[in-house]
Amino acid sequence: MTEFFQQHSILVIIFIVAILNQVTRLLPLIISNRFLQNNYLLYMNKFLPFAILVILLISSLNWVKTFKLADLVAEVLALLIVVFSYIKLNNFLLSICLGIFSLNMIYLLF
Amino acid sequence: MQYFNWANLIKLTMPIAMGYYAAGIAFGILSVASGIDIYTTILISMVVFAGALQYSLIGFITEGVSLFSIGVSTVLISMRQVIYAIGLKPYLPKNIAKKIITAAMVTDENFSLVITQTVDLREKIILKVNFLCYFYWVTATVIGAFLGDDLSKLIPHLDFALPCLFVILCLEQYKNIKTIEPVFVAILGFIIAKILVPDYILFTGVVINIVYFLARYYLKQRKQA
Repeated sequence: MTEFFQQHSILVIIFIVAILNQVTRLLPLIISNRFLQNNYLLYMNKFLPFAILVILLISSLNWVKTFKLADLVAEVLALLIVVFSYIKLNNFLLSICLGIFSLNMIYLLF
Repeated sequence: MQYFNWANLIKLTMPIAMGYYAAGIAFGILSVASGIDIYTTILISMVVFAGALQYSLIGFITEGVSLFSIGVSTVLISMRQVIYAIGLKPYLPKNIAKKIITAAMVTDENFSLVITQTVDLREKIILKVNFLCYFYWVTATVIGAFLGDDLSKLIPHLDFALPCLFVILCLEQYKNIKTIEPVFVAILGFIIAKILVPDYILFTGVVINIVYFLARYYLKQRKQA
């Protein structure tokens, strides 16, 4: 039963996200451009997605749950490898694979 | 005339296909590795069709974030699409159904591709380009979702793919705005939220950031005046 409700709530979340996402895509078709080009809105639109992604990045780290220094160091090192590989190779999938591989290697070696 | 040809449009969208297959497969693998079942993973790509938002959605589901926080974060992450839709509005098909379908499939990548074409071509290719991008993304997710089930059993720490993806998306954001100020504000917001309201970290963090950037813009305007 719990699993049923869990699956049910996942579907609710997905549809809320889908509807809100589509609203942002379809809004300009019904609302005047003048309102949407409000300077405050444009300024927030420039910086907020980046800030939200950083918060999501921090929340997704295992260290946030364990609060162990070893986890923090391992995850930060692996993320640095991801950053450098993405800058050099510009390949999403390869950088992610390298990140997971690096984290496993760090845990294995230290 | 040649751009009406599907073969030419596939050739034109090939750079997007390469990126979408890499990111879409990664999304499928990650979603299944995070405990979301294969069919729900595919459903996410079919109804949401937005890279950064879908990766965030995995976080929302696995972290048990509140619905209100999810709603606010979704709108904020998707806000840039409003700007894209404004830019593409003159080139959307005249037929109302086609117009809605085309606007509903706008992404960072197909917007960039269509907007770099000549003005007379934009309206002619936009629906097909957006449809092809949708097709690439959904098929990539299907591949990733079916691979992910086996991979998550074989590879330890596969869920680390999520922070890896977020750090790449942050890098892409940095390329656009060329400042790391949002990083510091976000870290500060996260710490304050973690101390004061640990159950609503994302929502509180986002609110702190909104307040900060609104205040910053207000002060900037006042300084200029």
